[in-house]
Amino acid sequence: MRWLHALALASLAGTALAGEPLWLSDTPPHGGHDGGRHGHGGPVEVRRGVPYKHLWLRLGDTPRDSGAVAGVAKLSPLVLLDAADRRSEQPVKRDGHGLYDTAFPMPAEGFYNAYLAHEWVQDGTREVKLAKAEVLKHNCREGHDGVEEKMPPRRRDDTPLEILRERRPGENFHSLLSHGDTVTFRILARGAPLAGVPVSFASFHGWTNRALSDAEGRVRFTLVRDYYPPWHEFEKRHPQDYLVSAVHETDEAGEVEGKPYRRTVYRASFAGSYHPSPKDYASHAWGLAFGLFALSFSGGAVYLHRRRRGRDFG
Amino acid sequence: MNPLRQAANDVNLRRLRRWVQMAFFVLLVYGGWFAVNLGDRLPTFACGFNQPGRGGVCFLMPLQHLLAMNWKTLFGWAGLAVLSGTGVFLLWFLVLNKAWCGYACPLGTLQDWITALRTRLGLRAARYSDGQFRRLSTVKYALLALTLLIPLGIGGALLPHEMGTPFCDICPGRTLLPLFTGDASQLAIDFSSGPAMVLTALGMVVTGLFLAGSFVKKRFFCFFCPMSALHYLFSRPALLQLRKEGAKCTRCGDCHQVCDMDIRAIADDVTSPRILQDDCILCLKCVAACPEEGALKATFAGIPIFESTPRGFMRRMHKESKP
Repeated sequence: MRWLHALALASLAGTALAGEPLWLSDTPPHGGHDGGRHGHGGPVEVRRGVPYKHLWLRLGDTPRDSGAVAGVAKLSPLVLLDAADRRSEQPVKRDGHGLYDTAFPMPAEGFYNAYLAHEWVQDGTREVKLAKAEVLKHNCREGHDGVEEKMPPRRRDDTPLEILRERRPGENFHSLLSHGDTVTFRILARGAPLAGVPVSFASFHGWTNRALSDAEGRVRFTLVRDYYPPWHEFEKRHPQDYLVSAVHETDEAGEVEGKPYRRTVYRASFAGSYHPSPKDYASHAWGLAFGLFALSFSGGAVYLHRRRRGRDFG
Repeated sequence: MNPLRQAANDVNLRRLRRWVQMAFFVLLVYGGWFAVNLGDRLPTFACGFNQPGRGGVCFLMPLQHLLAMNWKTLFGWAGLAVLSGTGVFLLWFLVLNKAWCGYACPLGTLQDWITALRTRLGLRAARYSDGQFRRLSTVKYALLALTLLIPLGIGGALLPHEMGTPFCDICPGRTLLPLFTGDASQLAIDFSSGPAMVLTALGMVVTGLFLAGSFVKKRFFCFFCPMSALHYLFSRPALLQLRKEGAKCTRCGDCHQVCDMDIRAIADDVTSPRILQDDCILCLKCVAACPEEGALKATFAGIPIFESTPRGFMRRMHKESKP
């Protein structure tokens, strides 16, 4: 809802998708959907007991200022790698509000990776936008067996540019990224690490950092605090979208739908979310003060009670 | 007498219990590091906040989570999850009955260690009067009711969601057990919302009271434990039971003297064969301290596994009086 307020919908007919990243978001642009529920992997819609994840197509450099995509002439289907690494294609349709949306079932526990590619040729350049989303399905009622095997990030060896979020030590289905954490991303081209790629990280409100991927394709960003509500509105599990994008230019030449091109520009995106850090709202000093006060007060009371009871009569 | 049964009746219960408690403490507090996972329906305080060391999770934590679901879901398919969870909890519980408190509970073991420290320092223990005992015994039922009703109120949108696990917020197990795996993150007050702030501040106060109380009163917290109240609701069909033959009892009071929970009925009641009380932790110290043949006994599925004998009593007295 907030980004509908922030910006009018990007109306993108035909090939007018500009140089901004195209990305996938699971935040409902119109304030939720029927049967919506929040799980460990964010909002889902439950249909006959099976959670369905909705992903909306968005366009923009920063989460807050990105508009929902409302009018593209032709979109290829979304490629989904499910929790068991099975590949399928999911149609991307317009929802009741005219926005592009896809919904897929998440019956099994684990991570689902969704990929969307959109390409066109303009002025002899082939533009390829590659949006990726990694979403989790986890319900504690289904237990926590085999979580470690399901944690490693997955990649596609046939995608020309991909961003992968590496796991942090000890990360599990309950782990949340929070302010102050340093997150490592890997830039891969057809499964192989790609060095020297400019990568951009944008927080929800638009704080942006840029870095080049190293020899192993790695790039690290520290998540800055970007959430300053009044205390009575503060939510410690408030998710804030972030957007990572990478651009890679090659001299690949060819022809698409009869239009020749001399160079190719790949723009990959990866969106996720992070949360307030416990350091923002938890105080050890106050906790220890309360605990020590209770300990010394009750200990002192017992001591005085025993002294009074122990006095000689008379 | 069968030599096996005689060996069981002669056992040095204090030493046996110390080792069993230690084994359970390691299993439930550090088990996770050794890939032990006993599930999240345990009838004892294996704290879910003690990650990744926990070897299982106390049932009160998922129970509160489940009850906090909206009523439409809870009284629909999710009700089955509550019932199946309670079923698994009962399967665990029915084996050991309240011995989960006396032998397995890490928080109980911690209290016993604090008691041992006090004994070494030569300080006497506090005892409750009969009136205090009666009044305090009801507190755990009130806490159990709140533990269940507050999440239900959240499911009905009557209470804020931050109160989703009210007992965990005030449980000293949450603040103290993670310390054994080097995690002090729970020793804090959560200022993210009003209800969270109040409950976590209360949790720190309860932690302070727990430490001071356990130092002067044996098993101080067990009087107030809602898990103990939940146990007692289901204790009758459990396999492990405590029985008394009143005709053999001389009312010497030894059993009451050694009782960590100060249960007077263990000595006074000579008419009830099922002598298990709601505050009992089934530590079986009363059986070990009884000098009368078969006056007190622990049975498993009706079969006596440990009973009082003059010989066992004398052997234990002899061992415990050695310097």
